[in-house]
Amino acid sequence: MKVNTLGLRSFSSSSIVKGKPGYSIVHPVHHTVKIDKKVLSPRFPELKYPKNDPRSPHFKPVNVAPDRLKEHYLNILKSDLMYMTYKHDEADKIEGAKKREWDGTSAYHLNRNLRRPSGFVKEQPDSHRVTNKNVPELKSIHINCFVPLAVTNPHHAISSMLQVQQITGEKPQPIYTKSDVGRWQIRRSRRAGAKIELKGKPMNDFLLTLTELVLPRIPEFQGLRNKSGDTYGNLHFGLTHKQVRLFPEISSNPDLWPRTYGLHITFNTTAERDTQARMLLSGLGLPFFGGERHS
Amino acid sequence: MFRNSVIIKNIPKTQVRTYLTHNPSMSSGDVSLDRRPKKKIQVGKARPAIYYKFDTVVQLSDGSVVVRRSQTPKAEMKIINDQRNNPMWNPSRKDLTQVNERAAGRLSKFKQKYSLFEDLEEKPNVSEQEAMPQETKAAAKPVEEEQPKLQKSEPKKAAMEEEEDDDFSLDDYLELVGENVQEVQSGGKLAKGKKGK
Repeated sequence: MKVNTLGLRSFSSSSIVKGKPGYSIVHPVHHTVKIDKKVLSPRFPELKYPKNDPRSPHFKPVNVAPDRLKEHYLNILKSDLMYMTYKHDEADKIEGAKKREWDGTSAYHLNRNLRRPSGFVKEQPDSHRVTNKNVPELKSIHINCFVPLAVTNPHHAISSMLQVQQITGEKPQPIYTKSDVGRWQIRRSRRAGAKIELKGKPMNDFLLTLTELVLPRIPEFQGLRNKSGDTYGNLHFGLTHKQVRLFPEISSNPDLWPRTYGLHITFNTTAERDTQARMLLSGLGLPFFGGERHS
Repeated sequence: MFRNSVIIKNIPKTQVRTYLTHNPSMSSGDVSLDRRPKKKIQVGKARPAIYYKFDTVVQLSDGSVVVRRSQTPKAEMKIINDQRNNPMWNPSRKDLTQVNERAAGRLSKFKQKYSLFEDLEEKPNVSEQEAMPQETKAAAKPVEEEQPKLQKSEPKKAAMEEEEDDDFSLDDYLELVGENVQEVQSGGKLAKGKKGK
């Protein structure tokens, strides 16, 4: 005897329609709300403290020493930068090129993806007038030390981590290879170097060491290239394994370092254009050279 | 007895392994490190990585002193070449010439090696002309040409001879040093394998 299940059907489930066990169509709420059970549990009372509480395992003391570069920025550089970048007759916001609508002359335009922005492949961010609220500032310095040699010999991964740790005084993160390339002897998910993101005091200390002690001692150093940068205010340059030896941590005891590794350094600023970022970094003590990129 | 044997059997393999392990495939000096230490850090007991840093007093080239915190155990550091005396960072100062720590040129290396002879040789003609670049060579030429003229005048002849004697003595010394010299073989002879049977 057949049972008319149609009347019992609820729209959240598909099971009753065919008389089979099915799955819920309604998305469950409990998966969307993230719950950190470690924090809720009474077993780990330390995790309940905020990060700026000394009892918290994440506590790190800050503002323990004077910061020369920060003082230089706040007392001298910031007002100068604003004076040099402020424009009276500029709009508060200049919109970057965005994706365009199709004009609808063809029937196929109906569900087509939006047209790419004119003159660009990707959408461009808006640029804002520089006021006292958004004077360009150094956000962070990323150091990337990729050592492909470490894929075959894992000792290099350890010593590259140590090198970055000694230079910056902070704990680096390991880099893993992403792809298999037989010719380069690279295999996926092997440790190959170290990376670190510096912020605050460690960042300023690193930049001071770089501009005062390391770069002036490189005989062939001309400055950072004016062509470097991602057009949105992030500049980068590199140091070879020989130039890394000039860091005082390594140069004071070179016998301990039979091998050093080159670095890629990225300056991440709040500037919206490369020109402003260059202005900021040259104020922080980094020289520039060469022609600018046409864009 | 029975109890003991049971206990020994129950020890899991993970507890037996040591932190430092020796890999037979590696050469004799190599030691492989395990990824993690044996003891697991409890949740909530971990501490952030804060390294001990020493205060290093760094004296820059202009005499200014800054305190630098780093992991290198060094109390003082004196820098010869830095931002304060580099022309790239001080474009307005004309008096700056960069001091080269390594003295990279071939000439300066030569001088460093044989500076003894330069001191002995008071007459600067020969050694300096070799050392000087071409621009200055032209300026120095007339001095050499003047010498035969000087020899004609008799009262100065004696002095010249003395100088020549000095030259000869130096040359003699050089010859003496260079006599019966055998080239020093750099690096020892390679141990050769046994000859074929």
